[in-house]
Order: sequence, then structure tokens, then C-alpha cells
Amino acid sequence: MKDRPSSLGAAATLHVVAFLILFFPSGVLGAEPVWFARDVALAEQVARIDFAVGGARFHIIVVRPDGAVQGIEQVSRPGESLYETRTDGAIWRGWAARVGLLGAVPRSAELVKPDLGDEVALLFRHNPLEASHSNALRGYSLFALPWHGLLATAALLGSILFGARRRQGDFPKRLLISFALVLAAGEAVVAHDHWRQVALADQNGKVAEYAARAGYLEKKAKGIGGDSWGRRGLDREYRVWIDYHFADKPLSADPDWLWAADADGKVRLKRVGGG
Amino acid sequence: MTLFLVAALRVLWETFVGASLLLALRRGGAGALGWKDLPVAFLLGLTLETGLLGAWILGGLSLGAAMRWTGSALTLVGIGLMIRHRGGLRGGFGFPVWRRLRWYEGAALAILAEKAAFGLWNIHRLPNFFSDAMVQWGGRGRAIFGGVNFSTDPASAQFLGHVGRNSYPLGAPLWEAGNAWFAGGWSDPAALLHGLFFYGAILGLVWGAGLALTGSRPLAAAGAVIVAVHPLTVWHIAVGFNDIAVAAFTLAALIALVRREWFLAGLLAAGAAWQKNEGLLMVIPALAFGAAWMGEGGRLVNSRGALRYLAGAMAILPWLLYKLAHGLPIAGAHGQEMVWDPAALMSLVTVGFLGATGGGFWMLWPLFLLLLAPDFLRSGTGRGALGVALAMAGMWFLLFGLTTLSEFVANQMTVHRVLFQFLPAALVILFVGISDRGKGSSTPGTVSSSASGASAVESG
Repeated sequence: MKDRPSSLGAAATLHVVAFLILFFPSGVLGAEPVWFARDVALAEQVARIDFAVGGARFHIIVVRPDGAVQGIEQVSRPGESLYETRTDGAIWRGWAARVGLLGAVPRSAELVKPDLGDEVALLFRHNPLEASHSNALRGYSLFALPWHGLLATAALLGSILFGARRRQGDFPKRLLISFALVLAAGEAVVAHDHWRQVALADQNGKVAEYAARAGYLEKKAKGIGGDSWGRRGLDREYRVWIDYHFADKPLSADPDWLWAADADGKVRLKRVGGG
Repeated sequence: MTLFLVAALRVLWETFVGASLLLALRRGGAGALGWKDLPVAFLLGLTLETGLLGAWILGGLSLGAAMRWTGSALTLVGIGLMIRHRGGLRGGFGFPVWRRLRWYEGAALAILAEKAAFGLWNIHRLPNFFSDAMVQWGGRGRAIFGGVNFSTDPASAQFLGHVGRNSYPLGAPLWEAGNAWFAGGWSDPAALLHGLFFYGAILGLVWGAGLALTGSRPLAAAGAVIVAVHPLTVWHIAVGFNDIAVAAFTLAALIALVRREWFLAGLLAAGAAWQKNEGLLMVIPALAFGAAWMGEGGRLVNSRGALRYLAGAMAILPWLLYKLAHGLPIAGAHGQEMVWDPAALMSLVTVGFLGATGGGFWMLWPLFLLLLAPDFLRSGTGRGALGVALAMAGMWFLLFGLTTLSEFVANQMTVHRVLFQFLPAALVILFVGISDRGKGSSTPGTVSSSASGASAVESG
């Protein structure tokens, strides 16, 4: 063995402190996973959608982290409320607020059962676990986080200094180990943080699909007003969902559904072809 | 639960099949197989199994029949090879469970296990929801499982799947369909589960390579933690994409190159191509470039090793010939036109270093490369590893900065995932540089080329 673990003491201590500071409030020890579990439990209290429903219209429902329905909006409009919700500060609220919110997490399906008649709802809610590969992760990397980044950078620089001063020959090794500890303290928190949830609900408010692709859909919903993602992109997402869920059934026997937007921009479920 | 159980058993069986092939490739010398080889054995076995499955199914057999034939044939072959090369099992397996864990190893294992548990939880509780996971992999896997919406008739609209790109390889859909067949039904975890096993393989490989290359237990543990805590690693355990498979095969192929097991490296690179087209377009060429610079005995160029590597990579040739014969593009339709857009290049830099790629890693990685550059240049192995690094990074910039693939920078989609595919290998390349540090001579080829599973760094 070439290593001298004991010589890592100072750097390791520094990192352990940073690690604990970062991990305790960020929920690895309890808050976020519990919240996540409750979200999933909520979603599973209701049945999946039956896609053999025609003439449906979509709405977007924004559910605040405390469970309250913040807004109901047709997809046909630009969807600012989605965007505003994303940036309303809820994402970066402090750890105390998160813990405080635990008692207010929605506990029943009533919250996602607004009276929508025969309309199908697209439900959007925050979920504390990061997921979206594109937008939701953007800006959340280690050095983009103000306090994560500050502490992690301080820890990294401290380790480099310790390493350079105490053992010149092992400098790259020490740097790499520091690197691992810093990432463990910072990026791991990021990876577990702030998933958000998108769910489809049917006319009874039953959740059909929930997904942590909020950033992705959000961009598309926002784009319905005119940018390149637009209506077609949103349709495609639902078509993908249907294609996957009917993949092991003969398409010739099952109806072939297409989600499309009509002339006034309202998204409707249309049946095209099929039996 | 049934699905999880059958998938775990299948992975064990694939590891057995792959281990028998490894023994044969290494000609069964004493100690030819060690615990560090288990992830490679799994990857080899999986490639062999899904490759054979693909041949049967493209030949018109049903999934059930193909599974039975493949299972029977490979079991017999595996047993035969094991018996013939049993000498390679003598020397002990070197499994280090009896060793006393150091505190930092325990901490690292706890972090790794927490990620795995988190991933398993997600696989169990979340639906398959991302487009590519539903269309390219899960959708086609589900169609193969159902025996519908999948045709081998080029004239059919359902040729190689009713959804997705039919030029995409079938490794992942076949594995997913096979699990659902064993479990007796399709469920969303069937489309997500593979990420967990590739995660395990990657961490085993990184940890093992860290020990073998640096001889440092803290460093090996640190390497595993670096890869495990990367946001995209955590996310890819359960997301249903197949980039984590490419990451695992790329890493395994690189380690085989460093061990100077050229043919094996080629086979594993072909495995990457059987999982996703990036394996064909990026991994095989980048590793060929690296292999070519791994010359020994004062020679810079390693033509014989590179040719052996390419011979192994030829394992993907039947699939390419099938595509050519049926008019399918070798790769997707993207990235075939060059563009010059300085704004796109700047955007690429921003995305790579500050975006969802996990910028912390990619900001420091070039720094490490620079820091270790003199060490890399001391040996053929180091030069080759550096060559792989430069080739992969160069292709990433070329493809996403100078071709029409730059659209994926604008919408921040594939660009992250492709960088993630290279993440574990990029880390192990740093291990190679560190292993060459302090050797002080220009003696190339310093990593043992012995077939031993416990390959170690030779002091230079």
C-alpha cells in the first residue's frame, strides 16, 4: 500500500464537517425521502387513466409544495404559471421551511380532484427529487449552488493546500480524494434534490401518469405560446406515452390514439384509425 | 418482485457465461479470474446472450424460442469452457471479503449502497416516463416481448419496432424483453432495471481499477465515490436510458486496453456499440486511437495491439452488415452536416462545464490531465490512455460543436448523456496517470499484461 490514510486527517476532517453541514439540512437523513414517499403514495392512491376516453381537454394544475392547488390553466395558454412556480423561490427555500412543510404535504386524492367535468388534467407539482436531465438539472451543478458551491470550493481548496504543504509527492492523489469528498458532499445533495412531478389526471381527477419531467414539459408548455417547442412537441409526448403503453398489444386491434391540438390551441384526445 | 429476482438470477448466469469466456480468452492460466473480473464477465455474458438472442429473433424465431435456445446453448458452452479451463480458477478468486475494511472504505460503501438503494426505490416506484426510455428501449423491448408491433420484414412499417429508430441496436430491448419473458409479464421496472446492474458493474470496475493501477485503497474508494455521486450517475440508475450501459462497456474496454488485453477490449467496445450507436461512432474509434499509441520497447505505435483490438471490435460486424443489407443507416440521421456557429461553441462550453453534466467533475478533469501530462507520457499505457481522453473529448466537441448535433446543445438533451457515457472511463484515465507518476523512466507498458485477475502496477 502506498497510501497513508492518517496523513489525510486534516483534509478529511474539513470534508466531514462540510459533508455534515450540507447533508443534514438537505434531507438525506430524512426530510426529502419522506416527502418523496408521500408524493408517491399520493399518486398511487388513484387509478391510472383509461385512454379509451375521447374528446378530452387538458388543463394544467399547479400544486404548491404545501399541497394547495395554485392554479388551473389550459395548456392552450402560454403556461406562465408553470414557469412562475418553478422560479417562485420554492426550489431554494431553506431547510427549515422544508421540514416545516412536511406536515402540510397533501395526504389525499382530493387535492388532485378538482371538478373538471370530462376534462383531462395535466397536474404539475413540485417533487423534491431531481430528475429532469435537461432543464431541471441545469444550473444545479455543484458550482452553481451558492452555499453548496461556496462550502465545497472552500473544502476543495483547503484540501489542495493541505495536500501541497504536507506531501508534495502525493499531490494528485490527495487532490483526487479531495475531489471525491467534495463531490460527495455537494453533488449528492444536488442529485437527490428537487425532483418535480408531472401527472396526468383523467376526468375524475385520477392520476394517470406522473413523471419527474417537469422542466421538459414546462418548456414545451411555455412554448405553446409560440416558441419552437410548441404544441406539436407536447402532443408528441403523449403519443410517446401511448406508443409505449400499447407496445405489447396489437395496434390493429387496439385504437390508435393521437393527442393533438385543435385550431384554438386546446389539446384534445383524438382517435385516429384503429378498430 | 419476480422481475427483480429473475433479473438478478439472469445477471448471475450471464456472469457465469462471461467468466467462462474470459477464462478461455486468457487460456485458463492460474489466477486468470479474480473478483475484479466479475463486472467484465457480466458485460461479456450479457453481450453474448443478447447478441445470440438478436440473431435468433432477426432470423424469425419467437422470443420464447430464442430465449430457450440461447439459454441452453450458452449454458452448455459455459460449462464446457469452465471445465476445460478450470485451471484458471485455481489460484483463488481473491475475493477480499475477509479483509478488514478501512473506515473510508466503509464510508464509501455506505454512499454507494445508498445510491443503489435510492435507485432501486425509484425503479420500483416510478413509471417509465422519459421519451427515449419509452421509445428507443422500453417500447421496442415491450414490442418484442409482446410479439407484436415488431417485424423483421423491411417492407413493414414496424420493421425492428413500431416506435423509435430502427437503426438503434437491440442489446437493451432484448435484455428488457427477456426479463419480462422470465417474469411472465411486462412492467415498467422491466424497462428501468438494467441501470442498477450497470451501476454495480461500473463501480466494481472503477474500484478494482483503482486498486490495481494505483495500489492505493483510499484512492480506489475515492474514485468509486466520484463516479457514484455524480448526479447523472444517480439519475441513470433508474431512468431507463441506455447511456449507463455505454458507460460501463467503455470503462471495461478501457481497462482491458490498459491491461493490454487487446482482443477483449475490442469485444467490450463492440458491446458498447451493441448497446447504443455512440459505442460505434465514438467508443470504438477513440479506443482504437488509444491502442495505437500504446507502443512498447521504445516504439510509439502499437500496430499489432491495435489490430487485435479491431479484430475484437469486429464482433459488431454482423449487426452492421444486417443494417447495410436492409438499407438502415449505420447510425442516426443526426450530425451529418458540419456547421460553424461560434455561439454554439460557447454554449457547448457553458453546458459542459456549468450545466447538467455535473460541471464539478468536468471542470477539474482537464486540470488533472494537465497536471499528470508528464506522467502519462512516460509509458505506452499512459500515452494510450491520454489518447483515449483526447479522442473522446475531441469528438464530443466536434460532434456537438461543429455539426448539426449542436441542436442538442440548444435544447440541452443528448449532450449531457454522451458526456456521462465517458465519465467512469475519464476517471480511470486519471488513475492511469497517477499509476505512472514517479516512475521516472521512459519504460513504456508498465501495467502488467499478465492474465492474472489481480493485475498490479509494476514499479517502473
